[in-house]
Amino acid sequence: MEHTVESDVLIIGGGLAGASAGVRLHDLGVERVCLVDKARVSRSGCSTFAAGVITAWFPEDNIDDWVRETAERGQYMSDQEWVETLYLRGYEWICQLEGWGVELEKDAQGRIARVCGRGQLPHKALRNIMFHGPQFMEMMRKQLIKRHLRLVEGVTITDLLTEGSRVVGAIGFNPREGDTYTFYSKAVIMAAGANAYKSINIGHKNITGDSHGMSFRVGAEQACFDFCTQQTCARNFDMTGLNMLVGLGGKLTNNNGDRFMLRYFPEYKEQEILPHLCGSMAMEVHRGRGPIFLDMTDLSGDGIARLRRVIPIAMQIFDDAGVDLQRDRIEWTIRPGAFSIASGGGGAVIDRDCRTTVPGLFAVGDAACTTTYNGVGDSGAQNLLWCMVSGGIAAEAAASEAGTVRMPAANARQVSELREISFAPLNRREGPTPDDVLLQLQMTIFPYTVTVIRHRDRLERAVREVVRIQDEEMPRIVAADGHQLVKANELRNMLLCAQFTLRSSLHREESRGANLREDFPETDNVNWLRWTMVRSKGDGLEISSRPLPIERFRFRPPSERYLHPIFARADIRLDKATTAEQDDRPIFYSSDV
Amino acid sequence: MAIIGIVEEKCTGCGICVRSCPMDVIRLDKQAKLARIAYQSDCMTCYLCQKDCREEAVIVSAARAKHIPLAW
Ligand SMILES: Cc1cc2nc3c(=O)[nH]c(=O)nc-3n(C[C@H](O)[C@H](O)[C@H](O)COP(=O)(O)OP(=O)(O)OC[C@H]3O[C@@H](n4cnc5c(N)ncnc54)[C@H](O)[C@@H]3O)c2cc1C
Ligand code: SF4
Ligand code: SF4
Repeated sequence: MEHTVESDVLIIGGGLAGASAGVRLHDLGVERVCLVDKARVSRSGCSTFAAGVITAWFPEDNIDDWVRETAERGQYMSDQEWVETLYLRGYEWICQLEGWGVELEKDAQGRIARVCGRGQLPHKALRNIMFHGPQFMEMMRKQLIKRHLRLVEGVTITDLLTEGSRVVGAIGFNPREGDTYTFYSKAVIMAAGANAYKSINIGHKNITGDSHGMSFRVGAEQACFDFCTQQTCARNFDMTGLNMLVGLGGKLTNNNGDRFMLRYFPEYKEQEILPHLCGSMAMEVHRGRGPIFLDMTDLSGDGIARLRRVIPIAMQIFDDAGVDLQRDRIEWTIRPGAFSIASGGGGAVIDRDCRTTVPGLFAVGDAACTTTYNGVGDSGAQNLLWCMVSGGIAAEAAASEAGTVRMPAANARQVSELREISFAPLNRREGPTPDDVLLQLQMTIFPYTVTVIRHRDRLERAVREVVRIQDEEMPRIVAADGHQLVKANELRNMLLCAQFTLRSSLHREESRGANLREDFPETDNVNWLRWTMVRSKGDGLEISSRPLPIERFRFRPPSERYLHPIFARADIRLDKATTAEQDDRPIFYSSDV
Repeated sequence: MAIIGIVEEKCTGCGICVRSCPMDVIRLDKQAKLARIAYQSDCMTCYLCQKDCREEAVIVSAARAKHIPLAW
């Protein structure tokens, strides 16, 4: 069955960013808002699985200190004007949350608890607030339903529709019923999240770069894919939460038992920003000192009891996996190719209204370039805040645009041409399955010598292989049914994202954030205060870089080049006294919630 | 391995788990009025189906559904 849906504003993706845009559009009086999601709002997307940490500025905080610290921790790659907007407007959203029923952690006085987490220190400014579990997105779903927004769920969008240079809608299908969908609208808000190449761990396996692939194909410029960052995970089972585990007494050690983070980043240790944490782990392996372990064997019985109280689900997973924390070290690794989840990372270039470079198309949440506010890595957890703030800002601009633009005309020819491409795998009998092709892609980009410790030769080899997969395997890919067809279409986008990251990394001839280049081991603030841009050109893509408007920013790094700490400190030896002193200094994490 | 079973005796065919699964792993057998595991290897062990099933009919285990390459 074919469905055609018209709306003033179409939102693609109902994670926190899309849902926030939906709520705001309704409250601004836009009547015909449609939100389409490939799964179910509140049961899909990283927002549903988020750990519940929000870095939130309160009016008693000094905004200059917050912007300075965020810029510094992000290695000066963020847009400081956006950082200020994020915190100031974020507070408006935080104030609404409790009224909507989100339970935030409280301190002994009953006020919202403000705690330190990854990338933060007690004597510095940044602080987090916390909630637990998927309740946040369940509350957002209730807000959408209360406002009678049109929700179309279980429909995967494959491509955007255009009229001249303007985006005017999208097409998709429902893999369960086999129905096809065409959406026409005056403005489109892209909120389909990031990409993690279906790597280990939960939460992100249907978030496959659809935002980036679809917006790129209609000409939207993308940026900063060289900074797409990894996460960490247990090696043999799916378990994140390192931030919490190290805050409660865990240490990362190498195969010799050394707590190597003391050497690389003595101030923040295991709570260093993610690109540095993952980079340090990979460097230990690179130097032959792997594997890496999470060591909690020093924990007392009281400590274990406390863990059971604070993180019951994580403890259940340890139990299921047969891990005795007082006896076993847990092999820990990086979640490879979480190239664009959270932390620093790539996405569509946006202006102050979250407009992409293509008229009619907005990008919010992880669909927009996250380096905009995080720089190369998260000094806490700004992502969820960004979802609400960018969703709200895009809604305001889209609402006014919808008031001035006419409804687009139907374009059956374009719909059928695009559908032919996205449905082609259904018509083939022989060829690789989506799982075959995915495995080839993962094997190409997941090795730490490609994804973390980078070098021109290895990056070039990986680019050639990704292009080969795209040119030789994808034209033969077979989908046996609608379910497989979703996966085949996801691969179109993941393959594009892989090229964005590999080629942007090649372009950036310095080491910064996730871009650790063995052949360019210095951080270069003289030549590389630049963002890396990706544009479509003919059938391919073009990489360039653009200077940050650093003269407009209040906080600037000294104009110098220095050896990146991960290269500089890989082989130094700390004397016993220094090690013992640093070892004893506690790591801070939400100590009593 | 990930979702490992749906207990037929408990399942009422309400379809909640089908709608909850982000990975489209579970489908409803409309004739038998039962949920069935259709694409187990795509399960990401997120426990949402188990959490949402009111009949406690879904069994999920912590192990990964399939081999995924690692960084080292
Ligand atoms: C395990 C985990 C823990 C995290 N913890 C935190 C934290 O504590 N604090 C924090 O600030 N950040 C955290 N993050 C990051 C944060 O969750 C994300 O940055 C944020 O949720 C992104 O929201 P979003 O709305 O942009 O995208 P998502 O929440 O990923 O939502 C995208 C939506 O788009 C839909 N979609 C995707 N493709 C299509 C398509 N083709 N057609 C239709 N719909 C589509 C999906 O079904 C999904 O509902 C965490 C991330 C993970 C993975
Ligand atoms: S939610 Fe439970 S009862 Fe309902 S269909 Fe699924 S398994 Fe059966
Ligand atoms: S555990 Fe998650 S991914 Fe697996 S079947 Fe259940 S809902 Fe789907």
